Amino acid sequence: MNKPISVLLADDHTLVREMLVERLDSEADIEVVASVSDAGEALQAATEKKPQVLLLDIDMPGRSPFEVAAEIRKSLPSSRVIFLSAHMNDQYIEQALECEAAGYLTKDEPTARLIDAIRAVARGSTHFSSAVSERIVIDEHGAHLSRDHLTRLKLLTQRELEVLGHLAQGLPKKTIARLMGISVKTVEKHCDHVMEKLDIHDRVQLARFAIREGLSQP
Amino acid sequence: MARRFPWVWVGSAILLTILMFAGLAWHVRSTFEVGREVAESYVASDRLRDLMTELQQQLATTAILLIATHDPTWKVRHMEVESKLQQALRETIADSESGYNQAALVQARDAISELSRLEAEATSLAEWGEVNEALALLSGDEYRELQRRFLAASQLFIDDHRGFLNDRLALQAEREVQSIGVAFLILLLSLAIWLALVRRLRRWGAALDRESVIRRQLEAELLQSQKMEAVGRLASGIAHDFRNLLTAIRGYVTLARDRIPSLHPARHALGRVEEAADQAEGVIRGLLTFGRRSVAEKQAVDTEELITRAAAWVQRMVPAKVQLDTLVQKDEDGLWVLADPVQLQQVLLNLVVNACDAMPGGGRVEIAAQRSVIGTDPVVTISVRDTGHGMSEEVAARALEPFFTTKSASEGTGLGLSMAHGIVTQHDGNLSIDSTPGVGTTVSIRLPAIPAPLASDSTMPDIGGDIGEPGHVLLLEPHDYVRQIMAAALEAAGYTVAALASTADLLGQLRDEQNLPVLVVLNADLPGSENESPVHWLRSVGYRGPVLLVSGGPETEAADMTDDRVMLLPKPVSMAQLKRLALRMTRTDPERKQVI
Repeated sequence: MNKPISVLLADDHTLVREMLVERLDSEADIEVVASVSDAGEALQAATEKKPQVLLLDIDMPGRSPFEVAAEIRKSLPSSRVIFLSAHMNDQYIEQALECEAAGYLTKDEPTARLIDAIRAVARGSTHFSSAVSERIVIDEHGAHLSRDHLTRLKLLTQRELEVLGHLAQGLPKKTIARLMGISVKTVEKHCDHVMEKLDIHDRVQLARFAIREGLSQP
Repeated sequence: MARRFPWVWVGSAILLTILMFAGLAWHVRSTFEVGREVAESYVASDRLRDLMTELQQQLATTAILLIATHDPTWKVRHMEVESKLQQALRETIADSESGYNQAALVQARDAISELSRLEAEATSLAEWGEVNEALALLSGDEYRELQRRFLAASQLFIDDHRGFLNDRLALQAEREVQSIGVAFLILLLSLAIWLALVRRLRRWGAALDRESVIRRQLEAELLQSQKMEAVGRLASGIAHDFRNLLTAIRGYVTLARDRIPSLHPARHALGRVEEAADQAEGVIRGLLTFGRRSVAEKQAVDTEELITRAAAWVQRMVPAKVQLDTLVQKDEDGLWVLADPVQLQQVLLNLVVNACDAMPGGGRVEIAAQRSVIGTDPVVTISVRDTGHGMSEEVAARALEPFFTTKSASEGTGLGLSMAHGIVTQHDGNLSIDSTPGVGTTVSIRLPAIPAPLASDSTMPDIGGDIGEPGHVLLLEPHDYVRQIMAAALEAAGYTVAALASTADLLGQLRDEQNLPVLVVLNADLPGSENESPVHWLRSVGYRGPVLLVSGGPETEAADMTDDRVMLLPKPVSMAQLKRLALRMTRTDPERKQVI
């Protein structure tokens, strides 16, 4: 049998903590190696026990759990942190992504989901609720939470933006190719990609989109 | 409204008023002066006539006495009187500015000269001893005629002079009328200016009154929002602790259930505990929504469609005695708002339930929507109107507070309106209550309007449809955390994902013919791939399938644009977009035609 997943649990609510310890310990593949009541203690216990997964409650008195998670990421790269919170909060999620947390769960979710999350994270995956994960954006700096999830324009490359601007003005593809100094075939490919990315498949709608986004004058 | 004090107006009004009084004062002074001059001139001319008459009589008297007495003293006296009279006449004639009738004076002077000539003749006759002839000459017709001419000339002089003075008075009276007219005009003008000024000041006063009313309203609103904010924080705090307790309760219920046999009688009790916990969870969600601590998933929502759906949905909960209507005022710009449709439906449900509760004997509920412009901002107003018992002012003032309810404990939690308020505030909108006891209540939600989106942007709640056909995806991304997140997103889309950190790993996977990928998602800025484009490299190792190239810069673009099955995705990329495009690239849909 494989070695069970070692879990460290930090929650200031004794009832919750004890319940979780009991519940997790009832799973054969999970072993709670330590349970503590604040983030500072969690750091100490983690250094000592080197757990695979840390479950950190966010709303605990004492040291910031985000700070502790960032320290653990540096000193114990093989330990991964899942944050637990009583509620969803953009600022918390943002901070969790900043310290590269492996997951963020709210306490209203059934404990079965927490157990699934622990298993997924131990396998090397991440676990965020779907509402959160769809809003995660990756860029050169890593992952963060998007606040403007309606702008599809950001999906387009510079060349595609240029093509969209010309298309919206009603220029034929040949003219666009000449203007941009590329082949008609390449222009066609850019058009295809623009339509795919924007999910718009008609020229009038495309022109409306370009005008609305300020790419073209009405 | 610019409020600069109208100094120019005030200045001109004051100046005109001063001018008017100065004009009137000058006029009074000049009238007084003229009156005084005329009176003096009257007296002076009378005196002159009296003097001339008296001197002429003295001349006659001294001449007769000289003839009768031969006393040389009378001769001297006679000559003195004559020279005095001549001098008075000369002076008066020379005074051209006094306005005397000079012709009359000349006639008087000529008459005096003729009289003097006759007196000299009589005097010389007397010296020759012809006294009787001399006296006869001085009492003769010629002498009397000359005396009469002198007196007539004197009277003419006086009459003319009085005429002149009367003319002067008449002229002054005419001037008086003119100057009173001008003063009256000035008075009218300054009155008009003062009136305009008073009107303007009144307008200012009214504007200030309006402003102060608005300010008081804003202050009241601020106070109310501060209160709601404080109550919201309190609600969040309570919800937080309460949820922790519920987590423990539900966890222990699960543990207990796992540990007792399936037919144990306590199982039913545990089920009821769980139900109670689920209900309590609903209360907590309400509290969190009120305290704005839950996450809203905002998207473009057509309120017309939302109301239609919500009405169909809530219809089942509306008692038979209550009639539910919808009234949407269509607008050519549409009735679009940026909102979480699920939360907005929750708000409508809460409001309709409240409306129905306010009409135990039946009535009418109307859900309406319309677009308008407030200031320069377009807004969509959704209102729920009932014909129920209404609320008193005190109840309306407290209606948004959590747990405030007028219903019995079994009927309501007192969270409906406070939740609605929380949700609307979270959507940058506002909620207002207009209620009249006995008439009904209208709750209005005002949300910022947005332009109608493209058909493809409209995303009303859509369950399912985002799961792709099962397929294997190779993901190559050197950044560990980003790789994990991308892999989780692709897994959520239904793919099995091999998350790889190096090209060597990718090569190994590509050679596994048992598990060929339907898509390769690749970081275009992979270290070690500067000399060759990642797509060329993929094609050179035999992979011909679709490639999603995630790039941080534009350099890769030109190189890979020749390949039909490559799509370049510039960062930042959201996981929702990644999922959607991966599904598009792996889906074969022959019916989809491109019009361009």
